[in-house]
Amino acid sequence: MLKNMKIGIKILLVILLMSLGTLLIISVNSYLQMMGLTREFQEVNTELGDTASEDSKEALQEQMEENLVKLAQKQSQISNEKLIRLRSVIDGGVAYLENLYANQELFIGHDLPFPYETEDGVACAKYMLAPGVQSTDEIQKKVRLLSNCEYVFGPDLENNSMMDNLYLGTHDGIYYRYSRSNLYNPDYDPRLRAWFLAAISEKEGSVWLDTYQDYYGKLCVTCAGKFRGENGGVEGVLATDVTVQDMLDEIVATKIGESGYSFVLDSQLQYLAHPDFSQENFDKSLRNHIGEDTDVLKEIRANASGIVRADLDGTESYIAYATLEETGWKLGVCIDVDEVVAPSVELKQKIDGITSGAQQMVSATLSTVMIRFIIFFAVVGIFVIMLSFAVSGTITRPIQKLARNVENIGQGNLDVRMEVESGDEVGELAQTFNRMLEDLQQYIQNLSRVTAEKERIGAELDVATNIQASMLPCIFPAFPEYSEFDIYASMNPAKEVGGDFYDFFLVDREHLAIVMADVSGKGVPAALFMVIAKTLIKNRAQLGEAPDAALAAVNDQLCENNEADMFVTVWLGVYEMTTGRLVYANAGHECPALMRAGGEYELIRESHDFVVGGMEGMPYTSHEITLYPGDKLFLYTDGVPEATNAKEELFGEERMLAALNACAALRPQQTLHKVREAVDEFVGEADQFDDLTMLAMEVRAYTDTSHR
Amino acid sequence: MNIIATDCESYMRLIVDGRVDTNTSPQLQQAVLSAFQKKKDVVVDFLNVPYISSAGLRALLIGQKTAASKGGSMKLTNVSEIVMNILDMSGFSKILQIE
Repeated sequence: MLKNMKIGIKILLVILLMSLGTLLIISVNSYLQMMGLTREFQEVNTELGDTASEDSKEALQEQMEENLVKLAQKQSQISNEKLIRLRSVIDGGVAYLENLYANQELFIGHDLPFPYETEDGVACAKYMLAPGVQSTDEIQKKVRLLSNCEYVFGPDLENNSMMDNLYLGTHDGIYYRYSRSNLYNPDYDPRLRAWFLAAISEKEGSVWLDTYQDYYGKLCVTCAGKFRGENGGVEGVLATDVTVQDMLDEIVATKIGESGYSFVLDSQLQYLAHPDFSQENFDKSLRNHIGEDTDVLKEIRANASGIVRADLDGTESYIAYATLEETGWKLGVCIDVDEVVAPSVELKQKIDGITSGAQQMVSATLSTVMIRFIIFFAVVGIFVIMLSFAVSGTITRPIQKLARNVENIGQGNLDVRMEVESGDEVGELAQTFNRMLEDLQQYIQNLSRVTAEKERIGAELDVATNIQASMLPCIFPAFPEYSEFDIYASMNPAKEVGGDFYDFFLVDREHLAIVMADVSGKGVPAALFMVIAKTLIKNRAQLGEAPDAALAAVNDQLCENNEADMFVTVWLGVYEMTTGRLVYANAGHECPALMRAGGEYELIRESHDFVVGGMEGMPYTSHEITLYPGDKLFLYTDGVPEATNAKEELFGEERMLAALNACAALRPQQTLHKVREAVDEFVGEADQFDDLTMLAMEVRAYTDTSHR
Repeated sequence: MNIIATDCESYMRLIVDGRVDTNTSPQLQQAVLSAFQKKKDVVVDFLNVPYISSAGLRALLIGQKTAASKGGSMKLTNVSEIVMNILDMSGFSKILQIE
């Protein structure tokens, strides 16, 4: 396919392939690399996002855990301090009471009212006696002593909003209370109450009792401490009811993130405070809020503070806790794990967002690059096509021009010259063409000159042939006025001019000279030699010389200036018409064939003399036979027996005699024709190698001398 | 036609192979003349010569004349019957040395 394409298209294809192919490879490569970069970028970004979010998640969790624990500790500490302060009030009160008991004589005191004698809502001291206790002087004396407590308890109650009251019971059965409330239970015996018993059983110092709900449903806790008399015996117990509801509310009210909240547990891990505490069906046991993993309960119980992760109310949560040392309560802070992790998730999303944004930008850039590539491609493609058209045009145009010119030359116009425009191969081709044209013109000139020369020579040779032919007697019957004999001869030269010749002429009225000769060689030199030989022979013969003398003379004459060493074989005979006597000499020529009347052709064999013109001073001999009417003589040159066929066989004397005998009855002219036909048939396609010259003579009668 | 020329010390021997006719006789003539330039005596071996034309005879005549002018000799050997006939007929057998 490529072979049949025009050069221009080929060049175009090659340039296009080279340039656009390279461009395409570069483009595809760049694009792929950019794609790879993008992918790598994407991977790195994803990894970065993952790592960052994971790291931040961990950091956040860690920080959150730390913060939560700190928060729990802080809050528990604050609450604990509050409780410590309250207990210190009891401790202070106990110290004051012991001071009172120790220095009874220093304090006068005053009578105290019964609760119903006081105004409700106004803070004041009041007393009552346990059932069965008589109001003796001793008792009244102690009541008056206890009345001094109001100087301490008043400011204490004033300064501690959490405190509901301060009250004490003695072994004597006195129940003293400093409070705003004036409610009382007449059957109340302080010595049987839990707070009294708990404080008594406590070895040293004050004690916190279990929580309870007061009349208003508020959570309260009691702190109690025993006091001793001057002799060291326990005189009674001082206690206070503390409303912790507000403190707990404060704790619960602490906002912790979105989902977080605080709570308080007692030492048995029962809720004391919880945002949902007030709801009716709220289960107070932490155990029932925690999922499967109950180990966390042990952990919370065992440790002073810490953080656990547990399923709290069906939500995976962090629970930070810290113990209020005063009461053994646990302050808890919990928060949804998801919320803790949320910022890290958000961060991941943010990073992912940035990544995908960057990726989109990269993709956009990539597609822009792609479009640029395509545009670049198109522009370069168009440019390359134009360029290659231009380039191929410069190559093919001269070739097309060349082709047109060559066509012109083909039509015979050799004067056309290629215009050499370039120094490239096409230019060289054009130059070569020009040189070829010049050579061709010169060659044609030479050729026409040579041809003309040849034609001239040919024409001259034709003339020569004609001259040669015209030199030989060629008008038959040659001697119409002579009935004594019939003679016929023919010559077919192998080349235009041959070396053979025959001749017959009258020497006088009664003598006929017959010549058959063959000049060595062929062509013009032979023809020229033949002319000389023929002329000399004729001259000599016409002088009436005997054949041997004539040939000897001719031989000498020819040898005089025979630079070319040419020679001629000659058979010369002189026939006497009156007697039939034939005198002849044979200078190296073929033996003539003779047919006696009624007989067959036979060769006349006699010794041959040397050729004429070969060597000076050669002797020649004459022979003599007599011919009778009806006898036929056949003369020929070597062209007849030596005619050769394609198998290189010679015609030979035997075939010649056979051909002659086949036409023994015919006249000389027909005889020659028949022999010629036999030779031609034998030779066939092979070239005629030698001149074919024949002469036949038939003796019809002797000259009748009596009529003369 | 082929001619092989052999230097046999005292003479040159030319072994001729093929017809000696108009076309080939210049070759024989040339061979004979160059042989005489080397040696005075030349032997022409005609063992493989089936035919000789008048042009070939002329070459032999020139060779004979050259031999005569140089005082040397030219001999023909192994002449076939046909060639011998031709030599007889043309009278060349009278002037040539034939063995």
